[in-house]
Amino acid sequence: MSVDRTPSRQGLALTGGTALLAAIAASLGGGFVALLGVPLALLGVRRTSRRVLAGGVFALFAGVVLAGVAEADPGIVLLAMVGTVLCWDVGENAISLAEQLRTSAGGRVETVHAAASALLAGGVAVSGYVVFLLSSGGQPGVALSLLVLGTVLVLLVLGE
Amino acid sequence: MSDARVPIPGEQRDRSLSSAALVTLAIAVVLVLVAAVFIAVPGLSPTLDLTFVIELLMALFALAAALTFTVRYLRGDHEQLDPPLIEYRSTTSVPGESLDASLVGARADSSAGLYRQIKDIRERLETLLEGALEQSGIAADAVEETIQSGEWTDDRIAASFFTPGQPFSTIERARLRATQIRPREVQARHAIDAIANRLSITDREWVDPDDRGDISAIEEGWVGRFEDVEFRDRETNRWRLVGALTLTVVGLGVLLRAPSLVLAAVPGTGLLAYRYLGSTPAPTLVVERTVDEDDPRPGEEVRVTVTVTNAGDGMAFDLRLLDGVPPGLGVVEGSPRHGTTLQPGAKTRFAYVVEADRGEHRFESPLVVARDPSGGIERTATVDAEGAQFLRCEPRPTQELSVPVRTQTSRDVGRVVTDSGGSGLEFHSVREYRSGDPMKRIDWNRAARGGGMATLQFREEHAATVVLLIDARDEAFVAPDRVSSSALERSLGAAAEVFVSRLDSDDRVGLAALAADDCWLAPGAGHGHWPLARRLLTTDSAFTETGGTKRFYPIVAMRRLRKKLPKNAQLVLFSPLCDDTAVWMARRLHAYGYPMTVVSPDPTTTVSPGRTATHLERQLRLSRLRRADVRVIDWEFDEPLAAATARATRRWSR
Repeated sequence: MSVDRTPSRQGLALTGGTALLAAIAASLGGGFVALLGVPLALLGVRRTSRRVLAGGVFALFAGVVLAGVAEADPGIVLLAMVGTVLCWDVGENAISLAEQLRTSAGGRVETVHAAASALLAGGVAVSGYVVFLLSSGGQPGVALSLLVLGTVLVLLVLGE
Repeated sequence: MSDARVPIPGEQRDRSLSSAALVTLAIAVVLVLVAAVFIAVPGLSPTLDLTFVIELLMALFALAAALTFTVRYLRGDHEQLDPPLIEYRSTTSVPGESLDASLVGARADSSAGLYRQIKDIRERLETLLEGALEQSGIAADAVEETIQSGEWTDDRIAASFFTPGQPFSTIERARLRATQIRPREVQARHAIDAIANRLSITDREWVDPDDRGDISAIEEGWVGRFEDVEFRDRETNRWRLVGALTLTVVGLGVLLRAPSLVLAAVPGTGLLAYRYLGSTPAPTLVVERTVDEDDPRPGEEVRVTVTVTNAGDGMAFDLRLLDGVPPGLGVVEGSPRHGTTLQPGAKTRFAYVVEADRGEHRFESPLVVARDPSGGIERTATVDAEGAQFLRCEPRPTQELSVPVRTQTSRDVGRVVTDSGGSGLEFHSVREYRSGDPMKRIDWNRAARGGGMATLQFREEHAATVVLLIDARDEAFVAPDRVSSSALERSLGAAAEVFVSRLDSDDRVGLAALAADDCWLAPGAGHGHWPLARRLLTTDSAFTETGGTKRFYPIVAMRRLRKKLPKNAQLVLFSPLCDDTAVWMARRLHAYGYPMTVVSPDPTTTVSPGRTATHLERQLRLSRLRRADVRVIDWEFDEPLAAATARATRRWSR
C-alpha cells in the first residue's frame, strides 16, 4: 500500500496535450519559447508542484505574447491562449486530485472536468473570434480592450 | 501547497495589500513628479489625447494587478482540504519516532525550542547512560564522575555530549555547517551508539553513528481522524492565475497595439465567468458499505466495498470520497479514497482491504469533498453510511500455548506441581511414618530391609489463581512501524491464549486492564468463564480506544486493583514496557506478594538513533524487573510467543 501523491496518467496526458496545443500554436506564430513550457508543465504535475506548473504555463504564455507581438494570425494566438489556460486548469486539477486522493486519483473526474473546461473555453473563443472578425472594420480598438478589461476586473473583484 | 497549516487569512491579506499599496504609491509619485515638471516648464506639456491617456493608465493598472495576483497565488494564497492519511492506524505511535524528529530538529519552531529539545534529549540520554553504567557494575555514587570524566567510552564525540566543551575541529565544524547538520545532533548520535556498545547490544540495524538511519517518518501528510478536519467551504483560488494571465494579455495588447492579444483575453474571461456563475455544490449522496467477512480471524484481510449513489436531481461534477476507515485498522491493499463524477441516479463503487485486529472497530462516517464544475469552490462534509458500521474480530486461542505459572497456589486441587509434599505423582521426599498415613504411601522396601517405617511424600498438585493484567494505557498503543499492529493487539491475542490454557489446567483465571477505563473480570473457572473474557477482550472500550482526554492515574489504579485481587493470586502482566510507570507497577505488585510474570511484546526497533535509544531504555527496564525477581518474557516482534516463552524459561531454571 502506498499513499504517495501520484498524479494520474489522465492528468499527465491532458496536461501534456493542452500544453502541446498551446506550444505548437504559439510556435506557428513565432513564439518558440512556448516549447519550453511543455516539459516544465509535465514536470510540475509529476512532482505535484503548482509553482513548477505555473512556470511551464508562463513559458507557454510568453509564446502567446510573442506570437501576438509578431502579428501572427489572431486565430492562432487565440488557439495558443486557449491551450495555455486549459493547461493550467487540467494540470492544477490533477495536482489537487493527487493531493487529496493520493494513488487513486484520476479516472472520469479529470476527463469530465477537462472536457467541460475545454468546451467552455473553446465556445467562448470561437464566439469572440467571430465578433472580432465582424468588428475589425470600423469600431475603435480601444472599445474592445476597455470592455474586456472592465469585465475581467469585475470578475476578479467579485472573487475577493 | 495545501493547507496543513491553515494560514490566518488576515495575515496573508495584510502582506499582499502592502505590496499593492507600494505599487500604487510608486505610480502616484511618478504622476506627481511629471505634474511638477509640467508646471515648472509649461512648454514641455504635450497636447495629450485623453483617450490615449486613459488607455495607457488602464493597461498599466492591469499589468500591476496581474503581477499582484500572481505573486499572491504563488506565495500560497490558495487552499484546499488536506485530508488525514486514514490508511494508517491513527491510534498507534512508533517508539522513538519523536526522538528522531527532535534529533534532526524537525519539531522545533524557534532556536529557544531547539535548545530546550537538545536539553531534553541530553537529560534522557544521561538517565539511559546512568542505567547502563550501573548495570555494568559501577557503583551508583561513581556514575556521575565516570560520565564527567568521559572514561566510559572510547568515542570522544560521544563522551563530549555530556561534558562541556567542543569535540570538533574547525574543519569538521565547517563541514557540518555546509551540510546543515547541527553538531549536537552528531554528538547525540555518537552517544546513543556508544551506550548501545556499552550495553553490548551490537545486533543493530543502525550501526554507523555518522548516519541518520532510517527515520522515514510520515512526510507525505498527517495521520489523524475526520474529527480533526476543519469542515467549511473553501475558495480554491485556482482561477487567480488565469485572471492574471488575462489581465496581462489585455494590458500588453493595449500597450503594444496588438489587437490579437486583446482577443486572446476572451477564453480566460469565459473561464472566470464560469467560476463565478457556479454555486457551492451540495450533492445528495447515499453511501453503502459492505464487508466480505463478518467474523474475521485476527490478522485476516477483509475487503470493504463502498457504493455511492447520487440521489439528488443535479449532476455531481467533482466528488472526492474518503471512507472512514476505523482509526485502529490499517489499509493493506487498494485505497479508501475515490474520485468520481455522478449523474443523477448514477452509482459508483470502490473497494479496499484492511487487516483485522482484535476488537470491535467502528467505521467513521465517510468524508466527501465536492467541487463545483470549475473547481473554484470546495465543500467538505460527512455523509452517514448505511450497511456495515463495525468490524468485529474476536480472539481465537489455539489452546496450544501457555505461560508457566509460579507455585503460589490455592488449596484447591489443580495441576500446578507445588513444593509441598503430600499425595501426587512426582516424588518429593521421605519422612518418618506418622500414624494415619495411608498404607500405599508407606515405603515398604525400607521396612523390609529393617530400616523402620517411613512415608513417601509426593509433590502436591494444586490449582493456581491467575489474574491477567493487560496494559492498555496510551503507552501500549505502540508498534514497530506505521503499518504493523500495536503491542496491545499482540497482548490481547496472547492474553486470550493464556486465559484458555490456564482454564484448561483447572486454574482460576481473571482479567483486568490497566487503563483509563476500568475493566475487571473476577477469577473464575469452568467453561462458562471464557465467553465472558472473550467479550471483554473484544469489545471493552479499554482495549479498543486510546484514552483520549481521560487520564490514567497509576496510584488510583493500583489501589482499585488491590481491593479486588484475591490474596493468593499471581499475576501475568502484558505490557510493552515502553515507560517507567509500567515497571513501577509491576515491581509494586510483585512486592505486595502477588508473584509477577511479565509478558512484554517488543515494539522497539534499532533502525535509527532515536528508536535505538528507546530500545536500550526498554532493555534496561527488563533488567530492572529481572533484578526484582520478576519473571520476564521478552517477546520479539516477529517471533511466536511459544518461542519467547521457551527462551525465557531457560533463564528461570534456577
